[in-house]
Amino acid sequence: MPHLTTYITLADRSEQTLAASFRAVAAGHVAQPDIYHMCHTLAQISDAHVRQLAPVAQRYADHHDDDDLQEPERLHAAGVAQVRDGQIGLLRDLQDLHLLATLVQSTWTVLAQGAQGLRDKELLTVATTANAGTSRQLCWLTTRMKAAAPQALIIAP
Amino acid sequence: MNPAGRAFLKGCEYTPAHEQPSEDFPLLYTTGRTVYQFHTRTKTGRSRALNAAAPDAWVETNPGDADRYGIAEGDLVRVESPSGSIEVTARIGQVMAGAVLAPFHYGPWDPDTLAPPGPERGPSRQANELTMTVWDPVSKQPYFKTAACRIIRLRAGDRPSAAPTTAASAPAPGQPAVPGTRGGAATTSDIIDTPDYPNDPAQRTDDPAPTATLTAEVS
Repeated sequence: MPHLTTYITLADRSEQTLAASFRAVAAGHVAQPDIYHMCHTLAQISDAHVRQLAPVAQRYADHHDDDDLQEPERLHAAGVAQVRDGQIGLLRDLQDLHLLATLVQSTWTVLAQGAQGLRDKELLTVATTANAGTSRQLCWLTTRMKAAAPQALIIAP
Repeated sequence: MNPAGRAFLKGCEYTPAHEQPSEDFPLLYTTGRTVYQFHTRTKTGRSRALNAAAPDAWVETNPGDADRYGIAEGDLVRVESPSGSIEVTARIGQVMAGAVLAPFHYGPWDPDTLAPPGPERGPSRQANELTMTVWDPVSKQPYFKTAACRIIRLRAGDRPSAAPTTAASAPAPGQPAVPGTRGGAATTSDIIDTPDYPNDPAQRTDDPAPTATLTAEVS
């Protein structure tokens, strides 16, 4: 099952990228106090997912060569390293985070299916709870984009 | 999504407050009320007896924390958080160790005593200078109850703080005596006749209220 291992690696990497991106957006938009604080809180959700996945990832990694753990280039998503300025910039940054979180969520969905096929209850639990956590991140991003959109689209220069 | 007149209740797990005490801001900050005032005092501030019981802002600190920062009853202190600051007098009170509490009733609303907005108004006494401009993303409840802060003694006061000595802001046991908050003489009020308002529906006797006509036209 080399591809399952690939997807575990993908979940691990993309959660780390998502956490780092939340923190980059927090640091780049400190003038918006709710963005600053909520992005840090939501980054911690991704941190927790990475921690919860670690023992499972180790279990699968023990059974495979390093070559199997290579993540296909096409699956890798770049994080948000540089934030944009202004209200429209904030909206775009939130959209980038949403895109990343969507990748994370579909990865957990796929992993949950694999876990059910293998009757791997530990992986299934991690994938299911992490999926719910990612839903919270996505919900907040959607809500915040809605709040930012009218001003950014209509008023901002 | 039809609540049928009932409220939505959404559960969520505990997450720590956004601002935790740190080296720079070692104390917890919260805001509260006194029984004598309501919100920003637009009504209670006009009642002589109520306003005399709690006439000005203060900050409550615990005796242990007051010792640590060299603060005595009535001292002028500056309370700072990452968001802002206030300068008010200190009450050595009964808040828990590691926390300070400021009443949120006080601010620029004081028609008779305060300078107009501008630099001459002086330092703020508005408790929410220190809190974050953040709302709960779901309920939109403002994030007014927690912040991290530090407290700095500016100078000695010439009298105890204006905090009432009754109710929650009473001085801590064992602290030097402070003149007690007392009620004044009984108040009286005169009921005056309601002025004649031509558009007041309650005073109309001739024809039906205009809203009824409007509803009929719309339907």
